[in-house]
Order: sequence, then C-alpha cells, then structure tokens
Amino acid sequence: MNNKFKLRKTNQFLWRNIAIVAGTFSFIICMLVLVNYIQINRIDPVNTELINSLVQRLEENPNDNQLREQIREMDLLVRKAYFTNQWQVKAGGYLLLLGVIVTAIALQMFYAGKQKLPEVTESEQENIVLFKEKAREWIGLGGFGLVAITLLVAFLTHKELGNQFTQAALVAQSTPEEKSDVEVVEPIKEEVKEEVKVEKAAEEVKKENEKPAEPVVEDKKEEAVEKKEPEIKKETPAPKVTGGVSYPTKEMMANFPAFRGAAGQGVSYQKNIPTDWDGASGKNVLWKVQVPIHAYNSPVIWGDKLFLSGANATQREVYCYDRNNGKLLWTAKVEGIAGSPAKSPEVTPDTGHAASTLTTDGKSVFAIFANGDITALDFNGKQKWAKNLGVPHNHYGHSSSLLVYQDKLIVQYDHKKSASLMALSTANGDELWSTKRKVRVSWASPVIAEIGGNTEVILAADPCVASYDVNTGKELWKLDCITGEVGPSVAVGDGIVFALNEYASLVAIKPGANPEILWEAYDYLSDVPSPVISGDNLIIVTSYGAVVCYDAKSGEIRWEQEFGSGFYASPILANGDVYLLDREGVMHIFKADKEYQEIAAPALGEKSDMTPAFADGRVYIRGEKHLYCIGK
Amino acid sequence: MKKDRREFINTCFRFAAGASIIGVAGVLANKSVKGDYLWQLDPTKCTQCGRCATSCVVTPSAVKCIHVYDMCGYCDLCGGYFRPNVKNLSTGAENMLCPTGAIKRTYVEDPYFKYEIIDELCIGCGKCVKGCGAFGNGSLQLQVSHDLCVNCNECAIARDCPSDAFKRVPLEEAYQFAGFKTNKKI
Repeated sequence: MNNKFKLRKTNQFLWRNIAIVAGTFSFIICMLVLVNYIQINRIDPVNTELINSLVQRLEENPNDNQLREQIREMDLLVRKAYFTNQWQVKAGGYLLLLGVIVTAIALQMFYAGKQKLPEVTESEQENIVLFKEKAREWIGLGGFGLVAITLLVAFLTHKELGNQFTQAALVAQSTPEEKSDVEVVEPIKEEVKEEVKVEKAAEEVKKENEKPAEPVVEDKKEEAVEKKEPEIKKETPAPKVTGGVSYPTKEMMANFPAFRGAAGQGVSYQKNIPTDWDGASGKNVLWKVQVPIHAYNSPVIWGDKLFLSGANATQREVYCYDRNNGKLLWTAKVEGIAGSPAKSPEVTPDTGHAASTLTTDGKSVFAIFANGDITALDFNGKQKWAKNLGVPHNHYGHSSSLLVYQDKLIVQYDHKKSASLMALSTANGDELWSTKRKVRVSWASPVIAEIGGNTEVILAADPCVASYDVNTGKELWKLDCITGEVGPSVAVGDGIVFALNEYASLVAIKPGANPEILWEAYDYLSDVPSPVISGDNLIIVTSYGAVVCYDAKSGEIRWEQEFGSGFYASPILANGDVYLLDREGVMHIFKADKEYQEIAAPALGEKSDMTPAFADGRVYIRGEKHLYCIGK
Repeated sequence: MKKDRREFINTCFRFAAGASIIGVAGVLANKSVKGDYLWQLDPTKCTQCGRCATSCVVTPSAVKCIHVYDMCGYCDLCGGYFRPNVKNLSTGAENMLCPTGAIKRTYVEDPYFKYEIIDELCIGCGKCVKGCGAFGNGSLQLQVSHDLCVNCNECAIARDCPSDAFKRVPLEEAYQFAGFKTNKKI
C-alpha cells in the first residue's frame, strides 16, 4: 500500500534522556513542594504555643535575660521558617511547571520518532466505517454521561441546597419520643482509686506521691458527709414570696442547682464557706479528681451529687460525682440522639462543645451541648428523654445555660438563623411554649426573678434586655439598650435589672410595661463575667481584671479595684461576701460593701474560667483539668 | 400581505435574535457603566476571629491590616503593637503582639510613636486590630488588599466568616474604613 505521509525523524536517544532527566527533576521538585506545603500548614505563626508559654514564664521572671533571648531566637526561627517555606513553595511551583513542560515536549518528540505508519489490510478497511460509527456513538454517550455527572456533582456540592436538604431531613427524622442510646458507664473501681486524690495536708501529699495508685479516702471526710438538710443562711437575701409561690424554692436554695446558683442570680444561700485554702500544698483541699473531658461548664449540686459535663467534637458526656469524696458515680454518654448532626459544629477553643452549665430539679439533671443535643437524665444516669433542638448557628459555640422552673426547663436558644426562648417539659421534653425573639446571637444565660408579682425570665441579647412570663412565654417588657456579642447575664436586685456588655454600656432598668433606664455607665464593662448585687452594692467584674462596686440606686462608683489576672468566672455572693475566681485560679474573697475590704485570696494552683459551686462548708471549683472540693 | 408559516417562523427567529443581541449589549453596557464589584470586609462587623489569615486561597492572605492614620493616637503604649500586660515598651519579640513582626514602630517625638504595617509580612490575623480596638482608637483595621485579592466568585473567607463581615462592594467603594467611634446611645 502506497502512503503519501512521511515520518519525521528525531534523535530518540537525546529526547529520551531529556524526558528522563526532566521527569526526575519534576518528581523531586513535586515532592519537595509537597513537603514544604505540609510544613507551612503545620507552622502556625499566629498561635505559637511554645513562644506564648515562654512569654508567660518571662512575665513571672521579668529579669530572666536568658529566657528573653530564647524567646527572640525562637520567634525569629518561626517567622523565618514560615516565610521561607512560602517562598520555596512559590519558586518550586514555577520550577515544577517548567519541568513538566520540558518532560511533555521530550516525551512527545520521543514517541513521534517511534511512530510507524499503520498498514491497513482489506478487511480492516471494511471495518473502519463501522468503527467510526461506533466511535461517534460512544463519544455522544460519553458526552451525555459527563454532562450528567457534572450536573449531579454540582447539585450535590451546592452548599446551601445541601444544607437545606440535610436540615429538612434532620427535622423530619427527629421525633421527641425516640430514645437515644445513653450508656451508663459504671466507673471501674481501680480507676476511681487512681483518680481520687484526697489531699489533706502537705505531708500527706508527699506520702501520696510515693504511692500514687493508692486510694486515699480519709475517715474524716466520711465523717464530713452531710446528712442533714442544709439550713438557709439568714444573712443571704431571701426571695420575695408573691401569691403563695416563691422562686427559687427552699429546696433550690438549699442546693446549688444551676449556673450562678438557684435562679441564676449569682447568690449562694449556703453557710460556713471556707476562705482559706492552697491548692499547691493541698491545704483544705478535701479531694481533687481529674475530669475526663474538658469543658467550660460549671458544677451544679443537688444533695450529695455534683454534676458536670464534658464534650469534644466526637463525644458528649455527663458526669455525676459524689461530692463528699469525689468518686465518679456514673458517666452518661449522650449519643445517638435523633436529629443530632453527624458532625459537630465548629466552635472556638475558648468556648468548646459544652460551655452551657447543667441544671437540676432534684429528680433529673439536664444538659445541653453545642450541637443542639439536649437531654434529661435521672440521678442514676439513665436517660429520661433526649432531643436535638437543631444545630445552633453560633460562631463561638452555644453557651447559654439551662434553668428549671417547676415542671419547665427554660432554654435560651438565640443563634444566627433564629432566636427563641422555650420551655420544655422536664418530664418528657415536649415543648410547652416557645417565643420567637428578634435578637442576634447571645452567649448569656437566662435569669429568673420575681418582679412585681410576676415570675419573669430575663434575657440579654443584642439589641435588647427582655422579660418573659415564665408560665406562658409571653413577652412582658423589652428595652433596646444593649449591643454587641452579649456574654454577661443580667443581675436583679430590689426590682431593678442590671445588664451590661463590652463596647455597650451598663444599664439599670426599672422593669414594667414601659421599662425605663434609671442610670447608665460606660466606664467598666464586661464581656464574660456577669454582675452580682448585694443590697445596693452592684459588683461589676471585667474580663481584664478590674472589679468595681456601683451604687445600684444612683450609678455612682463606690470603689474600684484592679487585679493582675482577668476574670471569666462570674462572682457569687456567699456568706454576704463575694467569691470571685480569677483566670489563674486565685479566689478573691471580699466584702460586698461600700468600701473594698479583702478577706482572703486563696490560690487553687490551677487555671480556671468556671464559676464555683457552693455547699455548706464547701466550695467546688472546676479547674482546667481537675475538679476540687475545698472545705475544712 | 398574507404571510405563510415559514415566513412567520423566520420573522420570529429574527426578532428573537435581535432582542438577544440588544439584551446582551444592554447588560454589558450596564456593567461597564456601573463598574465591577469586589470583595471587601466591613470593619464594623469584623470580630477579628483570625479566619482571614487561614481561609483565603492566597497565601499569605489577601486580607491585610491597614492603618488609618487619621484615627491613630500615636500612643507609646499601643494596644495593637504590644502584648497585654507588657512591662517593657521595647521592640523585643517578647513584647510584640504581631506574630510575624509586621508592624514597624518609629519614634516621632515624646511621647508619640508611629506604627506602619509591612504588607509583605502581614498575614491578616487581626491580633493587632483586636488590641487596638480594645485599648485604643481602632485605627488598625482589616481590609481586603485588592492588588492581592484574586476576587474569587465565592470568596473562601466570606464563606467562613462568622460575623458575615464580607460583602461585594462597587469598585468606587473598594475600601471600607470604619470612622471614629461615636458615643453609645441609649
């Protein structure tokens, strides 16, 4: 067969070698770029924990010049590594592109030289028409297939559509009756023995260190088990009794059932609260246990039981401790709840997945997590009900705590997509009422107070402080007076509501159908700790370390005090004194009086951002890692 | 004159083609008159969460700190430059807030100092912006630098921004600085 085409002759040896060299070069560069890219992603110049910890050490020892030099060297090294890697990735990318182009050209030239003209036989010539037809068909079908796959992928990866369908599916699936698998884990005795460390005095601590696995539960502690119903301290402000119903109830006041105590007002009604301890030496630390999963919720107490929760992106747990000896009585895993999202929402490390404090009514304990899971457990850790309220769209993480009023579990659920206040039945989780709110995301917690014969739930969120009838959810009053990302909850005293937020103002509100601002101040504001009121002394705590006492009636500053460390924990009024835990774990105890008078400043020896809980003669503090019981 | 069906269909097609051409021309003309839109960050909504530094498709991020000098107090103790609780107001790494050393501090006259942002080093983490906002006038502000921004169809930072601070702005309003803080009203 004659053929008019001519094959181009190339130097195959040369092109093959060029292809090999360029290909190898490209491969090496590709690997180097990949390694560099991984390194860049590992280096986080913004949050270099090592440098931060060294700087912290330097703050403690400002004259340590060697440490100072070390920080400077480390800082330079991190910056160099970060920017050099970036430069290397960019240059490597260009080199890789060049290498690939040269390889492709060389390969093309090499194979072009190897090509031979095909010899077509008679039979193949006949088949060629059929082959072309088939090829056209396949090309057509392939094209349609690609279009279909593209449309399918576009549809599946469309974020908004995907979310809407998932949400709709979750809502459709979620039925409150469905029970989840709550696993009650009995703690293994040996583990408890290891965890429970009773540190009475420095000598005993030393002994314990020699035998760390030995359980130490002292007789004295057992004797200290309080069987009597705690009495209500006379000095603490008693709630008003209106219409035969009082809130908080005597039972609640005898315990510490919620974030900032009964009704969330920042008042502890317990007595004989210790003022002297030292976490480092173990002085007056009755016991100390490690909490399995870290979280920012504070302890709550009912009877001899103390409750906490812990969570991370994959696990959610509720813990019950014997508050007399620190024994972990049970752990309830909260999982498999209908409607619960497969992936936990993104939260920031300083809020976490379980920032909301639990609450209890003496029969059940209620917990809520950042993914919207809410559950009720009995005092043996068995689940009574559980449901998912829908994932809260909250860029730091949901942190509003829960409260119980009679048979209602009060949930403040202010997030980006929708904001509401709801009351769920404590018995079965059914929604008793729900009130939509026109507010932005809030991290504050509800406070229940009796004002003018009404029992009101008072909430703070940008742009208003609002009050709702606790029985019906009906809005009673609302006042636009607060802005920003509201973290502090309100304080209520003598019929006046006090609300504040960073970059907004501190306002004293006279509630009622037409609420009025009695006074306003801008000098000291808080973005995390809530205020507390004792008589006409309003105590404001800022997260950067200033504590101020205002005259609650006039708004005049009575005293100001600066502390070295900032505060995230809220102050609690106990024994007529203010207990305020700073972020380093030092409890500042001072008189809630017209003059600042420090009583003591005992140190825990561990950082803490959690609000302490109180029982008669005891203080319970959740530190960064451990739970402490302090007493005499 | 009576048209047959073929002529009628032809006329319809001609009209449709004409209308399409006019429509496309109109849209293009409108776009050229109105100008293009760009991604920008609203400093009044920004919470300095740090995601601008990590979410941008450009490395380092196209979001940079911009210094609005008119608002600056030229403080010696600058909340945007120094770490909180700093004891020694020197330019040592142990005192600096910026993790990449992207702020240059220059002495002006007692007790004033000038602070300049080095664009090449700034990664848009917003630490200085937070510090300046907390203790100063808020003169350090995060902005999308349009000479670096590739103006993605869907901005990766806008998608991740927790406070919805990113929006498309017309070309003539490419930069959006927040003004002086006004007194809070009731």
